[in-house]
Amino acid sequence: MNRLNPELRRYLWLELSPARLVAMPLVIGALMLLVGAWAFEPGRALGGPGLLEGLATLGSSGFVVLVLLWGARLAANAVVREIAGRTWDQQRLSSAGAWTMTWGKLAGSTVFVAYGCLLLLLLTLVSLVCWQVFYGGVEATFRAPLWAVLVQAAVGLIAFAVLVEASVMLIAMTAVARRETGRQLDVSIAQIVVIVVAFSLFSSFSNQGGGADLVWYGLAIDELWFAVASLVAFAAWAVIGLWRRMRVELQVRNWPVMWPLFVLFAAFWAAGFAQGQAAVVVAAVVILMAGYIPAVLEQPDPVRLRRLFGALAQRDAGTALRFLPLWLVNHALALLAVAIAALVLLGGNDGEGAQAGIESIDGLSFAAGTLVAFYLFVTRDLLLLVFAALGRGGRRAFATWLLWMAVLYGLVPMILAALGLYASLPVFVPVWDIPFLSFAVPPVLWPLLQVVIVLALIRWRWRRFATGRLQAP
Amino acid sequence: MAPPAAPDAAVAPAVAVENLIFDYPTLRALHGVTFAVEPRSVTALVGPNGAGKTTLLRCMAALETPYDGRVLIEGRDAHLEPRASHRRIGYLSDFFGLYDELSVLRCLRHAAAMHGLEGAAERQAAERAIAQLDLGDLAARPAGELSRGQRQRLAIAQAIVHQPAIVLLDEPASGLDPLARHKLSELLLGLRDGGMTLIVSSHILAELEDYSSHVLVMDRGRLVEHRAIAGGSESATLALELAAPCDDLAARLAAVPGIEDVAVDGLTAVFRAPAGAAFRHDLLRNLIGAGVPVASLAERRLGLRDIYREVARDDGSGA
Repeated sequence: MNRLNPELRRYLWLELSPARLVAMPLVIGALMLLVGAWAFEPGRALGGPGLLEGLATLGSSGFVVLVLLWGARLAANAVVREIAGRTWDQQRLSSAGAWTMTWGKLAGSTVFVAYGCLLLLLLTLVSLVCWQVFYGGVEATFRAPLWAVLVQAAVGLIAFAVLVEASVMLIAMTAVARRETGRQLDVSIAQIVVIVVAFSLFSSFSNQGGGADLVWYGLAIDELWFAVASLVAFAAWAVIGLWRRMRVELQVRNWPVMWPLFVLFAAFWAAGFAQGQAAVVVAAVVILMAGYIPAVLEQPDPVRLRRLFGALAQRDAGTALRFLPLWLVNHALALLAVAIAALVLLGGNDGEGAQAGIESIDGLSFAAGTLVAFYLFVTRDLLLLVFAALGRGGRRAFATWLLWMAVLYGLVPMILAALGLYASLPVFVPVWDIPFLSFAVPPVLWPLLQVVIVLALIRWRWRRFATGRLQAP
Repeated sequence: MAPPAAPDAAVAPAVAVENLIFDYPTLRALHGVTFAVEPRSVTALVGPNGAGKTTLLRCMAALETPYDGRVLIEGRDAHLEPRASHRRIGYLSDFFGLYDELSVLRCLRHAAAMHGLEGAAERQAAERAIAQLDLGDLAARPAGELSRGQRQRLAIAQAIVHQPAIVLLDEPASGLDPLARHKLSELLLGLRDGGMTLIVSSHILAELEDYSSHVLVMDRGRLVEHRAIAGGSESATLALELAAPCDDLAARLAAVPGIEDVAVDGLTAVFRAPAGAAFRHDLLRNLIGAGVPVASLAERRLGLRDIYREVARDDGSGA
């Protein structure tokens, strides 16, 4: 084996020039001077404790900002730039394995940001140690021992960086591989999505400070430790996802296994915050909603669908599994989850469900029906994406679909509400607490009707893609 | 039209393509393409624009997943084992694929390392490729500062730095001046003599003729011809010239066992027949004995351009 990953080495050649290596600590040093001036400013005079607290904050917040604004952009651009520069095929033609490519690209493309982050992390840790040793400030502020704060800061920040950069690279790689146009837009959207998700995940646990507990599956767990463990787990999943995506790019066959495992993990993680029947419902909803992610990223591909249908017609299960879109796998899993959740709800109120808010609904059977209706609405949405992808403007399918979603979930309900037609809302959106056009019509009927209509539309559009109608070049 | 040439049964093909089908959403780009390429041969892949040449090369390099069919690289399925196949393949795309910021030496060291070479082996491979492509004076220059001809040489060096057994080249001579094209021909012959199998896609037939031993003609996603260009073939194209018109010449020739593809134009008939002087001798004797006013019978050596024209005429595409 090479002592150094060749892809990482290429980035080291390109990114770490002596001038850049000197510039980064100079900028951080200047910011430290600014914090010092602020702490000792006459009138404020925060002194040593204020300076050290300020430097620790500068280090940690600088780390987060650097990762979100710069690291995420570099990671997203890593493959986009290769495709634009026509070098991506050369990478795909190499005999380097998917894992070598994954970690080489992830670490390499962001190596300069990682250098800055390492300096900022050191600044954070040293400042915290000094603050505790000289003034006892850390344990008083965070209500936790110094070692715990240091471990949480170091592991949490590094996991946060890996999560953000791996996720944004994964999203950009998947989106760019699918489409020829709008690459920079894809990069920006990927960056914004990951920034919003990661930041909300990162900040949702830090409202109460150290020592506060949260309840997860009935267990009282320290909030910060839970946040750090969650970040590590999701960062690991992001890297696994990136590795699987890299395998696809390198033409290595993937079986649709990892995505369902990830979705089950996410459902398990989210369900821990709810109790009783509500936990099952939360898990089902997480699995159901997760289907949008692969559908939007990969987008339905007519060639792949044709291959799938061909394999199914020939009863070739192996080939069918290879070409099965992840969103379809996810939706099958969601069907199972929704069915279980509906059965649990139909089984009766366990008391916990009432605490979780289900008592506000006119009966658990109605809640189960609404859950099934929710499943059918998601089915409709996914089928609409297929319908859009089969259109003549296939490359604009996502934008077209977004517009339809905005109309169906935004504009139409607003119009109905403005007209006072609240009772007809369940025709267009899954709602929990609105009596449904009198109970004579089951809540699943309207979305079921829409699913049937969209399926008929897809069948109509599919004629253009049927094998017998393919044109010669 | 001659059927696709079968490889020599005693020699395992370097590349075997079996019933390859490739689809775009509303377009079938390859229609069940099947052929085999002999080791240490240079095969010219020709055809009009949109014939499917680049798609075929990309499928052979396992850069694209076909709808159906197989590509065997030295007996190994390229789509089941893409990374292993890539160790045996070098591919030059029509866009070269160079890192402009890296020096020539680093480009080649990186390419070698990505194929698993390390340490001294990596450096030696890069230096060998530099010597082969005559890039010594440019080793320290960034790829982005090179001329088109120099970039093309670097791209070829990058494709062969790991000494692959099979090299696929897509339009390698595009944009080169005549001298650079001549050097490219010499280089490709050198690679063949060094034991590599080459498949070269190009529009420039005259240049392909200099070094190709076989030709693959593609048209509208189909393989319409695969044959040896000269030498080693069991059949030959013969031209028969008459001193006076003969009404039933075509029928007489077609009736002779072994003769096929007869085309009569005035006093000249062109047809395919078994190679060898003995067959020609027997044919002449029989024709003269039957009173056909024969003026001459000679083998016509078809070049790549003749084959391409012949195929285009047969196909009626006129391409």
